[in-house]
Amino acid sequence: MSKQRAVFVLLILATLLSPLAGWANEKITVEVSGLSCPFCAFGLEKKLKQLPGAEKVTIKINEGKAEIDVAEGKKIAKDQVEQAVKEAGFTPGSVRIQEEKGGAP
Amino acid sequence: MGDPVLAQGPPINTETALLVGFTNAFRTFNQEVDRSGDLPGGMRGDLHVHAVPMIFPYAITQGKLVIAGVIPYLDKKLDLHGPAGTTRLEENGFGDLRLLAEYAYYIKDEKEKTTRAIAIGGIDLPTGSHGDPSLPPGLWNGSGATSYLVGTAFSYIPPRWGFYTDLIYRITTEGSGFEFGDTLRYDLAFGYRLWPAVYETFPSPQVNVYLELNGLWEQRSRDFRPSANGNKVSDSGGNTIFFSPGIQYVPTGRAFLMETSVQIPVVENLNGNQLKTDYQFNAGLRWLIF
Repeated sequence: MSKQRAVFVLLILATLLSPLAGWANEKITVEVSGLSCPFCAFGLEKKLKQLPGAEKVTIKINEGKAEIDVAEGKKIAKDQVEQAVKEAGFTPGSVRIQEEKGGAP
Repeated sequence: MGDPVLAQGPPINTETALLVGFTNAFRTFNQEVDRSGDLPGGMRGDLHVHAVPMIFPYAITQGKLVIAGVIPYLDKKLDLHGPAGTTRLEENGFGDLRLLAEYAYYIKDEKEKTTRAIAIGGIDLPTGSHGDPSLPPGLWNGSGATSYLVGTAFSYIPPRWGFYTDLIYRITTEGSGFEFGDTLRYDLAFGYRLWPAVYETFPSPQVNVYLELNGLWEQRSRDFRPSANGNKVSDSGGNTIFFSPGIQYVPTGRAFLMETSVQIPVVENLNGNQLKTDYQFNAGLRWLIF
């Protein structure tokens, strides 16, 4: 009985503590050359938001960069980002993909 | 990093070679043109034109290939003052439909600036009313003939300011017994983002100012109606250059802007007796639809 009880307690603990193991969200930063007017940024924002998994897009005009927050569990490939920038009419530079660890709320 | 990067809108009276932004959009403006002067036969004329062009650009490929349709609504009033008194002639309605295509053949995007050049081609279709013998051809809504456009535009846009230039030649043909002269449009514009000093994160409201020189050379017209026998119209054609200061306000920083400019003739060499431009005034908006 004590062995069964120990297994039962371990199962309960595993269930309660598993959210603390956390999950990973991606944040993608892409350099954009030629971004020279606010309406241009509007077109770029639309294209990047259309990427499957893109949750939020921030365009930092004074840094020549766009940042994409990717939804949990989703991934966006580097070539997808580059293609979206080209389709918006600009030239993509480097693409950096960062994984940001989350935790239990 | 952190240098104030580019960000101003397109110039008001000059073409931009940057084919992104206000494509898939709608543009319109209210243009008032006032002209006055001596006319042949000892008459004096005052012309007032109220034009509302509607422009619909569409991007086939963003930044690379754009097509557009342009159609104006026109309201023209000409007062002719003579010894016997004043006669008013007027006409209103839609003008000729213009179809345009613009292709970017040079694109150099760098950090904090872009340099671009486009080729422009187009056709004006004679959809506006024309040929009314009771009106001088200049008062017709349309030309009565098909015209062809060919041109180019160049833009250099580094941080906070921009340089724009264009050259567009229009080849006219005869319609309703009259051939308006070919035209050459040549423009130069300088744009500057007045506010904010540093454009950080999109979207942000902004104010841009423009100084433009807008030139129009026009060949003499030819009149093929029975009374004129294909002769050139001596009191037609010439060269005019406007100095055009303007201001542009982007309220939300996103898909809508308002703009206005006044055009003052600084050079006006017209052939014979023609009405001279007192001023031209434009006020309008651009709206990104989708």
